[in-house]
Amino acid sequence: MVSRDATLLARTAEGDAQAFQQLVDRHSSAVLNVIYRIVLSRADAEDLCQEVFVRLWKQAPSWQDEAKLSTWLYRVASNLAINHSQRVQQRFVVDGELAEQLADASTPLNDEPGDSPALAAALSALPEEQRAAIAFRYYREMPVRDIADVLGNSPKAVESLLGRARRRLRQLLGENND
Amino acid sequence: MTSYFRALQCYGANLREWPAHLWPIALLGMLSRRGRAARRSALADDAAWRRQLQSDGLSLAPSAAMQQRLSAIPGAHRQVAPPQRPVFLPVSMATAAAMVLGIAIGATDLTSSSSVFSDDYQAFASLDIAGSNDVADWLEGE
Repeated sequence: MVSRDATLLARTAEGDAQAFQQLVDRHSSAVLNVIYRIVLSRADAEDLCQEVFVRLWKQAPSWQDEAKLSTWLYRVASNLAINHSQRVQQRFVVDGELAEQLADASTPLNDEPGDSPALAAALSALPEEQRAAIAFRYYREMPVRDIADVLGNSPKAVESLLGRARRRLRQLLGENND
Repeated sequence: MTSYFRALQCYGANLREWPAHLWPIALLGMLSRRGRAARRSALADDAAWRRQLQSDGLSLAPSAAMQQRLSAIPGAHRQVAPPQRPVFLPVSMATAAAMVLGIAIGATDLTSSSSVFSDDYQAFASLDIAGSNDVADWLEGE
């Protein structure tokens, strides 16, 4: 059975902007939230989300991926977000002054409504890959197997990432509660 | 039972998310009291983490500005044409073609150069490779 996404993608591949817009409507919110949970900055998340859909538009005619469209989108989104976070962190190490500005710009969880500062601080202390695994597992509620597909890891490696993330979060949130 | 607990750790407490080849192990695990207790504990743990992490209630929606940027993508970016695949002969066909070509060239060369070949053979046969003629000349000189 051909999925709705597959139909829209086939039309997008022929240059149909309306079909592309429908794909954007169906997936942009989920992609944006996943990226946000990794980069922890709304402005950066919006830029990266746009990049994901630019790639989708450009690559639609040569689409050969056997994976589901959502898996492809999450894969591109998580790769871009993890790379972005690592770049930001490298600059953080290189230039202390710039780092303070970047840190100010990339700790906006506190700016978002209904956000818990302790949880935000704990999440921002995790490595990017662990944040990605947490985002897919607990925010998108994806099975470990699907997360493994998206991150290009084995289920065992994903479970290990999640285990380490949970231990670190427990530690950090416990410290905050004391 | 060990593999049941390992699978529980690896694929989570939701047995529907396990790969099909592990379903018999899931069934066996569920038959034991320890297996059921471990699964209940894993489910509770998973739910607790989900509650805690989703407690911020944050769900971003694309802003109006972002929606505009996304809508503008088709006008601003050119689609990449699918790469033209080079024409590849199947291996068996390529091998057969090479063999036919090789035989044809070989046959043509043999027929056209057979006399030269025999001349060369005569010249080769008269060569004093071992140098026995030189030794004989030297002995005669002595």
